[in-house]
Amino acid sequence: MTLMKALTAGVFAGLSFAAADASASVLDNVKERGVLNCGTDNTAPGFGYLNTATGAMEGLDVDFCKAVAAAVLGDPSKVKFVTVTDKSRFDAVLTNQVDVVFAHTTIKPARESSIAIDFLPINFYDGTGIMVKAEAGVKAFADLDGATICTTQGSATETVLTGAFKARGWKTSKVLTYENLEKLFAALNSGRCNAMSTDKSALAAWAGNSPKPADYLILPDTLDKSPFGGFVVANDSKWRNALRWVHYGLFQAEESEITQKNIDEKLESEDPFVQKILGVGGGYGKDFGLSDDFVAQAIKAVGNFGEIYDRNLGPNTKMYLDRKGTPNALWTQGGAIYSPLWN
Amino acid sequence: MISYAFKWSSHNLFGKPFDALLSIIVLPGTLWLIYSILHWAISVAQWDIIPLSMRVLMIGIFPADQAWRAWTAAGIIAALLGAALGCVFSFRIHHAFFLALLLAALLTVGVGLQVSALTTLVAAVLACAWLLTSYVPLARHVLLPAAFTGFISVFAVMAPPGVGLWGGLLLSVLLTLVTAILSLPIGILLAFGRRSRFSSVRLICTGYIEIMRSLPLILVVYWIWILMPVLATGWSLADVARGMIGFTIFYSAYVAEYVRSGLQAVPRGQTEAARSLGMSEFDINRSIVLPQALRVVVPPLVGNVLDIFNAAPLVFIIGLTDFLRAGQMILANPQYGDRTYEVYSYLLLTYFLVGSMITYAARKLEAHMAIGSR
Amino acid sequence: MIINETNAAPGSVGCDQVRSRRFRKRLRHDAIQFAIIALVVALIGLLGYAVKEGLAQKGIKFSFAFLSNAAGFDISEGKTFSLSDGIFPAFEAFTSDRSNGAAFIAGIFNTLKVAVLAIILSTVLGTLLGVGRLSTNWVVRNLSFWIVEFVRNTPLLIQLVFWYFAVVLHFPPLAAAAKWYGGVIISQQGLYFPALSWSGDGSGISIALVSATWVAIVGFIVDPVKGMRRVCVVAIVALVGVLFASGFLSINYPVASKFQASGGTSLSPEMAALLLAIVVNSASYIAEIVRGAIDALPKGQWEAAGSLGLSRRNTINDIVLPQVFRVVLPSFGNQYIGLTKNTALGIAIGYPDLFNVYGTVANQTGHSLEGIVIVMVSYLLLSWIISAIVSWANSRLNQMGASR
Repeated sequence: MTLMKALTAGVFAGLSFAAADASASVLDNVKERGVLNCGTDNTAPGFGYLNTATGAMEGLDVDFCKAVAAAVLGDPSKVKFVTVTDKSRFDAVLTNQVDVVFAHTTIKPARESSIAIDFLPINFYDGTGIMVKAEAGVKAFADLDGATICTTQGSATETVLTGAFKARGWKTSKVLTYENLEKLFAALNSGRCNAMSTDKSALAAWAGNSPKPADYLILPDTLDKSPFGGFVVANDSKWRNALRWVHYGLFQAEESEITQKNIDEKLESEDPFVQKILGVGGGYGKDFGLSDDFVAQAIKAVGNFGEIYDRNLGPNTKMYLDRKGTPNALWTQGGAIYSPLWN
Repeated sequence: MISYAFKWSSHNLFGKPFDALLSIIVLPGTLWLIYSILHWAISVAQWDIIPLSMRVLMIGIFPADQAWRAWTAAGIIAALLGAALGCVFSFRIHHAFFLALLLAALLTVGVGLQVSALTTLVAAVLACAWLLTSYVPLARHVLLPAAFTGFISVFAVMAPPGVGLWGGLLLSVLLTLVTAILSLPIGILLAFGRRSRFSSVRLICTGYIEIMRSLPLILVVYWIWILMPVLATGWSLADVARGMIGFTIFYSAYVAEYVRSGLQAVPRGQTEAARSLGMSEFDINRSIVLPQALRVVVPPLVGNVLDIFNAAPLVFIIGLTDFLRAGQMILANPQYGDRTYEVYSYLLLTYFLVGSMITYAARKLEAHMAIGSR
Repeated sequence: MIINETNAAPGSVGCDQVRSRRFRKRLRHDAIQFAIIALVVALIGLLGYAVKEGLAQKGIKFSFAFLSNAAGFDISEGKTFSLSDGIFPAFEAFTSDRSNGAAFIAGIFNTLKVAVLAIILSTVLGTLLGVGRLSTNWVVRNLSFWIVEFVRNTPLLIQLVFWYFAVVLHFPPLAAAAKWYGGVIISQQGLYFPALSWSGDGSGISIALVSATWVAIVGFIVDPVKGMRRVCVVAIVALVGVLFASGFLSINYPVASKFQASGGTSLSPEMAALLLAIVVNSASYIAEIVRGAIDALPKGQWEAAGSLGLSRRNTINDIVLPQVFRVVLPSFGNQYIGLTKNTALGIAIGYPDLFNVYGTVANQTGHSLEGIVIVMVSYLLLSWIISAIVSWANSRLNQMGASR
């Protein structure tokens, strides 16, 4: 058996040309490489989305990639976006094709228990919603008995819908699955699907970006909750901790009102608490294997969490999702965006 | 004129009662279809979307500041294509018409990139290479090594920004090239293996070919993609490379069958004669059987290249953004969701143009071979 | 060593020497044979071991036990076996409380459904197109040519997506379509047709009537005695009339409700699009085969038929096509296999074929590798069954030809 093992190892060691040193943290690999490989979706407006006019990637998830690149490498442009799909995202991290994935991924226990990944803090709170065409006259999920509801293959929504039908005793309702959101939306538009179901943010984004947003109605029902988080390969606490504190830094910066604009002022600030966050006169960065000013770098690149949110999902965007009264607001305003103590 | 038209139609459309009936049924429908397509294309369709998103269609998310790499690659491929054309059809005046058509196609392709000069340059490179191999026989002898270095340099030029960034039409073309080139030697080996003296080799090769020919390509590609990380943990290979491996594994079996039919076409007497001259099996195969067999199978192999190109959109299953997927990405932008027909028409037309050119080349080659064998 | 020895004694080839040389040659042959087999077995073993190790590392166990677990997801269409009444397997629609294994069967059912229909339809359409390319009518000839050219030179996937999103999904919505007469509903929710429905009570009379009808139909097809066919036609018409009159048989019209229509027989939009795409695509290839075979027929046949005073249509129907079908069947077989493989593209438009169902099962259970084995074996079996049927039909056809 050991011979067999040695043989197998030999064969694949011979074949591999990018085998990563198992003992090294991803953090060291990224620094050595000088580029962050970040996995994102490219069909999710507001999160990870290819602007076909400019060829640039945009979205909340994309900004988190940039923030990490700035915090780790000191330059938000040193990031390479690798497109991942609902199916391929876990595989991409496990095979070291990407260092971290930000792809509107719902945090569920099964994903950490059966796949060797660790989730990062929640960066968006979402729920499974239903959208219909306004002309259909459907006002609530209860009106959809017997309807064909469409969703994406491989998403958590697939089983959520089946469960919802069963709970209500609906016999003739059908779930139709497509391979991505774009086909799903086309099917809703054509009338093939009586309703489409996915995360509410995505519903809002697709409706908001369409030529006539008023044609669509997002039902008030939320079938299930759906918190999003990025994730990294399991058992690499050095890398995971560094990324967690990049997140918390962005959360705390919003709470402490440190923005992309006033960051240079704040770096001069005498407030010891602000100095601690920004790493003025020594911070926590060195202990995480980063530079002391890693939070300052991230803020310079993309701004604090509130600024990232407003840029991609705020009132000036087409998919505007109001933070007020939702868990996506700061905890000081009744939300769930909360950073541990920076002291 | 009118009497001619009358004569023509009475002969070609209403020659017999059955023909007349067919014409009455088919003609109005066809005319209506042509009219409605033209009406739509000219006065309804909003074509601005095509030039607007041309870059994504052509190169996907390949970085814009690296576009010179794509242009260099296009130039090299055009030169090789022209050189190959020159070997088969010497340049004639009526070919200039064909070239003009190609230039027009390239210009429409390049219109959104605002680089008409570059597109013209690529077409000029093609024409020069064509002329060169048409009139300078020496150039034909260096074609094979030139093609080899050409393909290597295409990949050397394209690789640095990262294989994972290949997308759009560029990806479709590169995928087709890699598959066509890699599957040839593997296919030849498999074809010989299927005729081997050793029954075990025969069994393995036949089994491989038959299994691959029974499975859908989309499954083979998907499985290679998910199995490779399981087989070799810690060995990361870009999705594009894994897709190419899947395509090569699949198409090798088809190439093997084409080559085998070519091998069968070589008269038995030739091998026997060579054997009686004391040549080794390897030498017989290499210098007598294979060259003749390959000559016969060139047209079907060219057809196979078209099959590969037409199958390239299947890489959507492993998350790659090829030409078709790039088109769908444009439609994914909800603002452009109502441009379905425009985008699909453009895609279909481009595919049809490329496909027809390959088919035309295959047919010409076939005719060329038929003359040669007389 | 061996080479030296044999070279040392050219010319003097004794009986013994020839035998030992043959023996040695055979030995060497066997040794190489053995080495190759050993190498392949070792490679497969190594591969299997690597897969097992890789799986173990990710904490996945290779086992088919998941097949009997409840699926927990829905499939939009498809039937599966169930043993609900204990002994006889019933054929029922798939629901989420059925097992994963049943989901695979539903997938195979969906694949077969499209494949069988497409084989029949594409053969008919392909032959028409192939003959059309040789028509004396200019429009028909050119139309056939351009259809074949266009379809063969563009990817099937884009044709499929086009048929689905640009054609089938632009059918009228259910509410508007339901007003069509004749009971046919062609809507973006699906294509619904009236169907025959059996409401017999299982009494002796009804069973006797039905059996008599079937006998008449068989008689019509087999045509045992000359003139029997006419009798059978009359019998069929009379019997069916009696069945309708007695209420044992009735026509079940589809009725549209708010979201769906019920009753009759239906075709989902996904299946309609997949069927259209595959039929048109395969028909173009079949047309080329038919045209090639007709072109290959000696010109003399046409001329002879013409001099006998046969019309062009009769020549094609009675002289050309019978000969063509004898030649093209093996090529048709290859097309049928290709067409069956192409049904796997259904995933692009959400048609729950075998590959699509496999994707869903693998996603929900994590048992991707076991799924690969199942899907692979299914496709291999399908291909082999098709080629067996085609070669059987081919040998039958050639026998019939020989006996004439």
